[in-house]
Amino acid sequence: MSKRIVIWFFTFLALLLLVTYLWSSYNKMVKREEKVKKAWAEVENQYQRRADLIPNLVETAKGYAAHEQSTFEQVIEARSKATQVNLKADDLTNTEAIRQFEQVQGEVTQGLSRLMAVVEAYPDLKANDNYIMLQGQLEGTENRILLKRSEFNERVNEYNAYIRRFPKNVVAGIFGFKKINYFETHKGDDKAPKI
Amino acid sequence: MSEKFQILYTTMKSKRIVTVAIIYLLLLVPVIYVLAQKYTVETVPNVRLRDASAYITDPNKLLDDDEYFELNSLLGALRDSLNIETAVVVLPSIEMDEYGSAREFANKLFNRWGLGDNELNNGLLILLITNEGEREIVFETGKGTEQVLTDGISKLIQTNEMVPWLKDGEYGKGLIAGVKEISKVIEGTSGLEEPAPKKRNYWPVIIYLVAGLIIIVAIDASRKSKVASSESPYKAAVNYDSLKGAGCVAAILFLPQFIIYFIYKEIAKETGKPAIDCEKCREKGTVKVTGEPVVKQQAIPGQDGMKEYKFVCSKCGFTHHELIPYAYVKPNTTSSSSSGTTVRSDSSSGGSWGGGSSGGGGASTRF
Repeated sequence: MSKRIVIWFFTFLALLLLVTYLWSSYNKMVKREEKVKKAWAEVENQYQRRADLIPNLVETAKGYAAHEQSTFEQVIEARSKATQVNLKADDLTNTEAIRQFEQVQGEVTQGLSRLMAVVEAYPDLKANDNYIMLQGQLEGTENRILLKRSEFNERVNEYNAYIRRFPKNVVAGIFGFKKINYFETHKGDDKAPKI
Repeated sequence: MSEKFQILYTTMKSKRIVTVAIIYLLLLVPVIYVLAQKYTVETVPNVRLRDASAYITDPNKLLDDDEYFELNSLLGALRDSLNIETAVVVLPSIEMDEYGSAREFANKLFNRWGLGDNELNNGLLILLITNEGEREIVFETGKGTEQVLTDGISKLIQTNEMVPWLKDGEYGKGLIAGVKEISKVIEGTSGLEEPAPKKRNYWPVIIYLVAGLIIIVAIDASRKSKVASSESPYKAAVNYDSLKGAGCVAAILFLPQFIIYFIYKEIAKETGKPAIDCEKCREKGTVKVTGEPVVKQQAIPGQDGMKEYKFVCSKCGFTHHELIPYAYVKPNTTSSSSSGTTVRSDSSSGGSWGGGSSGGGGASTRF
């Protein structure tokens, strides 16, 4: 009789420990995931800010460099494409979604670099205060994008390291925590375009 | 003997020359080293650690003494009166392989030194790199500082105030001009203004949506008030569903709002449409009027008449009879039966009956 009680007691204790472990692991995973999501939101904010700046920039540039219509159109088109591709925090485990996001934003970056290169030929535009400020804002945004991206990668790193180590990986599997992909920084792409 | 001495003497002499030369060379090494040095964030000496009133880090003495002191006092004033903590760093070169850009270097240096207050984040780092091919002026602002000294304005100050000097190698003058302009911006006397990102004009759309919604709600409310003020909730509820006249036009004109409102009403049906529930089987909103009302008492001028209506539940077939007063209508004049006097809100339109609550039961009293 007393033997059975002891067995029950230890079974109960083991279960309690297991539940506590699962509970705390789950909470820690959620916390780290939230950090990743927050970092991602800040990355997206900066991309959004960049997109907001483009119409103004193009409009200012148009006044001086009317010949460069095609360059402007490319930037505008890339921008509108990019604004249609949103990468929600929940899609961060989706490699394809990230790749697509990267691609459309990369096109905006390229378009802007081209625009900036073209503008070099228009000294009046380059000396326009409004243009200079917009350029500064844009550069600042590009810079922030880089900083926020690397911060995001750090958070992802922490999260991934946490959920992939044994035995946490089992817990993560049970609760469906998936590995989040890094933001790849391609060579040359990781630098703000020289404007 | 003398020859030997001579040799000894000359060797001693040349030895001394060599020694002196070596000493000189040794002294030069740090100079050469410093000249060729590419700085990293770690190797930039933090001048603040030595002198609390020094704001400028210029390890290679690229600024003139006069300019150094003038700049330093300007930076002191910037801190004391405008509460911006600035560090100026003048370097010939940075380790570009390690940092992607001067901005990144500046950002790392800013954070390593921890410029500005912990909460106010009122730091500002001005970094000047002077070597040919690397020349760059960078402002790195703290989160608080960037509220006033925005990216765009920073760029404008650099382009307009500083670069013309810096191009000619007038580093001190360029930095002084820049810091003066920064002070003006922070004081608010600069006149430079950041162009805001262009916002699209959504007003027409907003006005259309809001106005449409108001009209639809108003029409619906007036219909409801007819129900509420009507003599018989039964009759009104049955008539309620049909859209007529202005309501129909409004519904077409403001279709999106109408749909939204309709959906909203569907969701909030209990408080919305005055549904009449069957007295017997308690089915919701199944009661319909049948047949022509029978006149029980003729209306005469000055006194309303009474008509008997039959309401049938479509579920159980139970018929509810109700006497409803009708106004005397002079021949050849159009009736204006319902001039809604009381406009009630959604929640008070529950003229229903049978639900067990107080409101409905008395509906059949007056004739």
